[in-house]
Amino acid sequence: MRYFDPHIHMTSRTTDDYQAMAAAGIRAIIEPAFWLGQPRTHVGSFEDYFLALVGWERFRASQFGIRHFCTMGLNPKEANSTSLANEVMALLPLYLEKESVVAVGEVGYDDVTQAEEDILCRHIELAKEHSLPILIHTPHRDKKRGTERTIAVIREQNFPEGLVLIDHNNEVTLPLVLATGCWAGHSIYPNTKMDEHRMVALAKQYGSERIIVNSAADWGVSDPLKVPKTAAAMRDAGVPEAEIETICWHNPIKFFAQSGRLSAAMLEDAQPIDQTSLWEGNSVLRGQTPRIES
Amino acid sequence: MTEPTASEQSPPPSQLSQILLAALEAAAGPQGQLRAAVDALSGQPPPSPLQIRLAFARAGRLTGNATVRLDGPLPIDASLAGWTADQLARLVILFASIEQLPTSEQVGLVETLYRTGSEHEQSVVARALAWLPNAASYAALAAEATRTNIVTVFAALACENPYPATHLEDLNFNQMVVKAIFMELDTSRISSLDTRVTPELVRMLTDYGAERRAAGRVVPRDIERITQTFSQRKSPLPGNNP
Repeated sequence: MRYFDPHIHMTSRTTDDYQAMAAAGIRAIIEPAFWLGQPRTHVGSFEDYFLALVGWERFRASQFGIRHFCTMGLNPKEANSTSLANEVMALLPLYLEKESVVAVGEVGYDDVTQAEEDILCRHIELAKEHSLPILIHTPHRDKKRGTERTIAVIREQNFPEGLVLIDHNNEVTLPLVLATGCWAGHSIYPNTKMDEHRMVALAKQYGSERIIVNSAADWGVSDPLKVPKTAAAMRDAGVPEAEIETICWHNPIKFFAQSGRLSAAMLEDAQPIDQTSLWEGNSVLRGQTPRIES
Repeated sequence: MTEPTASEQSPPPSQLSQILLAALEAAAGPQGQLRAAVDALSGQPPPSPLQIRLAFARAGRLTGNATVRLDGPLPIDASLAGWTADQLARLVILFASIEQLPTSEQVGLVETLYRTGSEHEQSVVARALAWLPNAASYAALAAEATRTNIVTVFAALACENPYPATHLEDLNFNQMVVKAIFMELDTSRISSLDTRVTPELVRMLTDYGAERRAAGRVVPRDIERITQTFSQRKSPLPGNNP
């Protein structure tokens, strides 16, 4: 089966990961802009990162047969440095117009501060101005309240709920999200957030409508193959194949296709591989024989 | 906050610097190079912020970075257990030099030391805050430190440190407590935690316990300990006693 991982931070991953992902059937991914494990202190660090998301990283994915899209935003952890946050917000309109950007995100709450809420509201404004859906990060701490407040803010801002994907859900937050028109993402992690077996139970209880899974793999201990592994766990547990395909392929496409910059038709054919190609003069190869597959 | 701060109850930073330096020498032998650096920073003309930053960065090369066991009690009630000579040296340097700067430049220096610091340097800053002049001015920096994902830096602020309970706002304090549980730190190490437990913190912890249960995971014991402390602290209603 083909898979879509709609939340994975590939700049932190290796070419081995790309190869393993392609071999496991992952055909397309979305890389949300996020933080780097330690705070950035200059706006230029963000700009270079944004450029890499629409440039080098997209090329790198293509070299392994994977289509790469991204979302742009100021992550909530860094929203608390107000002056830097303002500088980053000023950069965003330009980057939201880049062709592989399919949503505003990931944004939302971390410490559930007023500064985070202000920045969240400004991102919602940007999503309206640029006609993009929005990817929402829910906090690790005080998750239920953070999710409730996120939903309240989306409603106060009159943002269409069908254009909102609320991510990192668990057993407590999923029913809250499904009671709205928002889509519900689940990050399948080795230990925290959500695991495959808990996800199987949720899929059995709630079905596949507006349900999405992702690996959220990043620079920490995480697993870029969690989407195919979750699909396998669902299959073992008797979840019908059509439901699995809805959750792991059709749903993320349907949601992000609302950007107008990604479509089911575009993803129908696998990304051709041509490792003789270069990005700004650079190759991913280190003396290997280039693969060419169409 | 109106309660007396740690800095009001203890000797001024320059004196703390000398006490810690003497304790370091008692534990680890003479520290000629560090003494010379402290003399230079505390004399005239006063050092520039850059000179203090350089000395702070260089400190480890003056003392080495072996773990030091200090003989207490010291007039600084934060635990310095497990601290290394370079961290103590940085504390000595910061305390020796901070009052040499005009008040208007002190906060900027400390924020720069934190922002540009290594893990060890950031831990020293987090640990020092309560004893700096105008300690309340560092609440934003302390809130930022509660957001770090570096466990040692987080622990330097959260554990055996009077600063959070004295100066952090409820929102930041509550997040710090929940984060300590996420990081599997023993919350009994948070100074004066019992005095800062509020209905909102109890709600956050109760919600978190419910999430853990729904996920089929172990509920950390700290949650029950803190929420019970709170319910016991509330005086029982008249006539309700058994």
